[in-house]
Order: sequence, then structure tokens, then C-alpha cells
Amino acid sequence: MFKDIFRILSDVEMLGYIFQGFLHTLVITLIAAAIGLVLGFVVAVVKIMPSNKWTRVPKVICEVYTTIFRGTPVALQLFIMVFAVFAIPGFKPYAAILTFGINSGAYVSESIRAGITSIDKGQMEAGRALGMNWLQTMVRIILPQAVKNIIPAIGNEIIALLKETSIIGWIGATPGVVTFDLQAAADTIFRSYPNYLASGIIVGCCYLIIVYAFTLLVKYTEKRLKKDER
Amino acid sequence: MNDKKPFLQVKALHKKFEKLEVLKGVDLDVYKGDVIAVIGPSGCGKSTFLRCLNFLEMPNAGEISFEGKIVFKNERVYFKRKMKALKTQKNYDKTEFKALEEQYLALKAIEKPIQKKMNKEIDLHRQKVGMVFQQFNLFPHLTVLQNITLAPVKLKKMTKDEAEKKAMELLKKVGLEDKASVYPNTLSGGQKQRIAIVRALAMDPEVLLFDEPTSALDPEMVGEVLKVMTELAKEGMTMIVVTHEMGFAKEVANRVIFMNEGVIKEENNPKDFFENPQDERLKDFLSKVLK
Ligand SMILES: Nc1ncnc2c1ncn2[C@@H]1O[C@H](COP(=O)(O)OP(=O)(O)OP(=O)(O)O)[C@@H](O)[C@H]1O
Ligand SMILES: [Mg+2]
Repeated sequence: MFKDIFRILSDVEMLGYIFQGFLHTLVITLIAAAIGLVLGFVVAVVKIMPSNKWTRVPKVICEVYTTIFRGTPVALQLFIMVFAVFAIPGFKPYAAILTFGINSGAYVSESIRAGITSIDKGQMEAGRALGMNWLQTMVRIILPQAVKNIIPAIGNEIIALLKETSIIGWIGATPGVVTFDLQAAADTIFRSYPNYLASGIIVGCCYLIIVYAFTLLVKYTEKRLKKDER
Repeated sequence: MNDKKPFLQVKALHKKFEKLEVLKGVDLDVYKGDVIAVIGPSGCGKSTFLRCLNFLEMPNAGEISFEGKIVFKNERVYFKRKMKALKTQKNYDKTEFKALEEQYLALKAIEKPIQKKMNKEIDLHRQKVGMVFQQFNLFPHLTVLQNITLAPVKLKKMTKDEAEKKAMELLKKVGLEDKASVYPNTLSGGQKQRIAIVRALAMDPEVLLFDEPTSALDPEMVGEVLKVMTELAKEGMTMIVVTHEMGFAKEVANRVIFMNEGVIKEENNPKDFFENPQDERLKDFLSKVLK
């Protein structure tokens, strides 16, 4: 096994696949995460807004959205989005990334909402009682406190997303296209060096490196935020 | 005092939570400089009443005027209810219904614009009606000074410099000027509450509402907060104070109110209130709290 790992790692063509896979996994995850963050934030805010005649319909839409995307497998969502909703030639890879983004947005919105609702009700009341409106109080009082709870949760969300993107090759992945991720690299390496364990360990280490680096980043951010207080 | 006009006037205020009727018609005239102590058994609606005055809770019915202007008015709800009740009867009187509906619509024409205006001006109203909470509700992510200056600056009442100058003056007054740059979680309960009072004062309110300001405090810290409140009262601040501190009610307030079962059962000056209570429940209540 170690021999196979060594042979793969000294094969320039294989190294190229690994590098490509590494890069693409990162790119797919980061774009999907960005979409998820923006979407998740908007949805969370809509869900938290006081209920009135203007917010009622958006609230229902957001509720339906999170229910559907959290309640069905992401592979199925990929299947429907890529082959039915966005069945545009050449758009497949982007539809896939978009799907991961939309899916992640549903989870992120729940993390953000949980972070916001975990802040004591008295904080909003105190802000409002001073004459600040809902938005001012949200931005100046609630969100700065909620961020401390939200960052770690979103960090975990992105790590889960990173691992989920490994099914993207399933819609077709050849070297050179963005869907050629780490998992696709493992499959391709296996065809030249038919040892599951060897290719698996190499790619697994790549995933671990990204996840670990990301975890450190989240921890660091958390610490910075904690230091601001006190 | 009676020839003066009340600057905060509450009429027949009603508030329900789902099926639970908490306020069942509260009437109160507040004059400039009044210090009103509100006492009553737990759950009788004292907090709810106070919170209705700055619309942290929206009343269901009644009228609130502030500085001569009606800020909240809803009486049509009664007619709506009568109409509904009438409709449930078989062969109800159509002309009676018509009459009710007319009254309802007439009131609606008056009340709807007030309501619309209020929705827009609710934040302005709250700037003039400050509130101090039992749990302080200081902002933990801001320093003491930032806690105090955030709203006045944000709401463009003052520039940052003015607000900070004023904040330091107020902090000095409550003896906490050395705490300006610390975060609230380093303070004791009594200090927190004094900061909370300063934060409310920084907005230059016309009236301050206190909801059991000393109830969350260790006994040895109650005094320092009451002292600040007493000073405020002496300076002529209009205050409505829900409290269990009978000493404060007796010595500082000029009016004491007993609330029970969603209404004001008794009101008097402190001397007569405590020496000569009329309401049976009040006598009972006082015998328990005064021991
Ligand atoms: N947001 C709410 N939703 C439902 N019920 C409520 C709400 N707020 C208060 N109540 C109920 O209304 C009643 C009156 O509450 P309120 O807090 O006004 O009483 P209180 O006189 O301030 O009592 P305490 O001395 O315990 O503070 C209580 O039965 C309470 O359970
Ligand atoms: Mg209360």
C-alpha cells in the first residue's frame, strides 16, 4: 500500500489530478458557501422580522424553502436542479454549484436564526425602548452579539458542505472542468493505480488538510470576537 | 395640582394575551413631576401596564394621550365585538346591527389615522418615555459609555461629543464616572442598574418607567439604586415606578397605586394609602408586605 501511495505521489500526471481536484473542491465549496451565506442571512432575517402584512408572504416562502432543502437529500436536489430545472447545455456545473449554495443556505439560515434568537429578548426591548427602530437595534445590538454564536455554527456548516460537494462528479467530471473535484481525482487515479486504499488515503488527506485549515480559521475568528468583549 | 392638565393620560386601557385578560380598564392621569409608585400582587398586570405605556406591548383597547395628543385610541373594538356577538344569534335585529356598524365605522374613521400615525411615531414616543428594566438589559458588547451614547447619537439627538459629555456628567451624578470605559459584565448589579438609569436619562425623556428596578439586586445594593431614583424625583423627574420597596413608595412617591385583577383598585397619597387603606385586598396585601 505504501508503495502504491509513493508511486502515485511520484507520478506527475496523478499529482496534477490531485492538485486540480484540490483546487476545484475549494472553489466549488467557497462559491457555494458564499451563495449559502448571502441566501441564509436574508432568509434568517425575513424569518425573524416581526410578522405583519408585508412580511407574511416572504415568511411563508422562506419557511417552504428551508423545509424542502433541509428535508430532502442533496443528491436528489442535484438530480432535479441539474437535469430538470437548469437543463441548459453547458450550465450543468454551475447549476450544481448553485444547488449546493441553495442547499447550504437553508442550513445556514437556521444557524443564523438560532444565533439571533439565542440573544436575550431584553436586548431587543432595551434597544426599542430607547427609541431605536427594529433594524437599528438588530444591526447595533443583536447581530454583534449573535455573531459569536453564529460563526462556529456556520463554520461547521461549511465543513459539512465541503464534504457534500464530493458527489458533484456524479453529474460528469473529466479533468479540466470545475466538477473534477477531489473525489473525481480519486476515481481517476484508481483507474491507473487500482488500489482503493492508496488513492483513498491520499485524497482523504487532502480533504483533512482543507477541513483542518478551515477549523483553525474559525477558531481564530471566534477568539478574536471573544477578545473584543471585556 | 388639579388645575394642571395631565401630560400623560390613560383611559380604559385593556390588554389581553390570547384568552388571558390582563388589563381590564386602567385609568390614570399623570402630571408633570409626579412620582407614582405602583404596587400589587404578582401577576396582576403591573409590568404589562407599564409596557403598554411605551408600546412594548400593544394595548387592545382604550386610549393613551401624551403631551395633549392622542397617541393610541381603540374603542371601535367594542362595537366590533358587539356586532360579532349579535351575528351569532339567529334572526338578529338588522337595524340594531346597522346602528352598531355605523358607530363602528365612525370610530374607525377617527381611530385609523391615529393608529397609522402612531405606527410611524412609535420610536419618537419611546424617546420621550424612557424605561428601566428589572434585568437592566445593558448591552454586553458595548462599554458603559457606548451603552449610554449609542441611542442619542444614532437617533441624532446629539453629536458624539455632546453625548459623551452628557454621559460623563450623568455618570458623575450616579458616582460611576470611573466605569465609563469598562464592559457591563465587570459591574455589580447595583452599578448595572445605575448605568441603565443613566442610559435612559441620556435620551432626555419626559417620563421614566421603572419596572421593579431593585428586584434583581442583592439587598445591600438596593439602597444605592433607590438613592439615585430619589435624587431624580427631587429634581422633578416624572416617574412611574413598579416596586416592592414600600419605603420608596412611602417616602419618595407623591402618589401610590394599588393594582389588582387588571384594574387600579386604590390610589392615594402615600400617607393615607398606608395608614388608611380602604380596599380589602390592599389591607391584606399591606399586612403581608409590611409585616
Ligand atoms: N407576553 C405574554 N404572553 C402571555 N402572557 C403574558 C405575557 N406577559 C405577561 N403575561 C401574563 O400576564 C399576567 C400579568 O403579567 P405581568 O408581568 O404584567 O404581571 P406583574 O404584575 O408585573 O407581576 P410580577 O409582580 O410577577 O412582575 C401574568 O399572568 C402573565 O403570565
Ligand atoms: Mg412584573
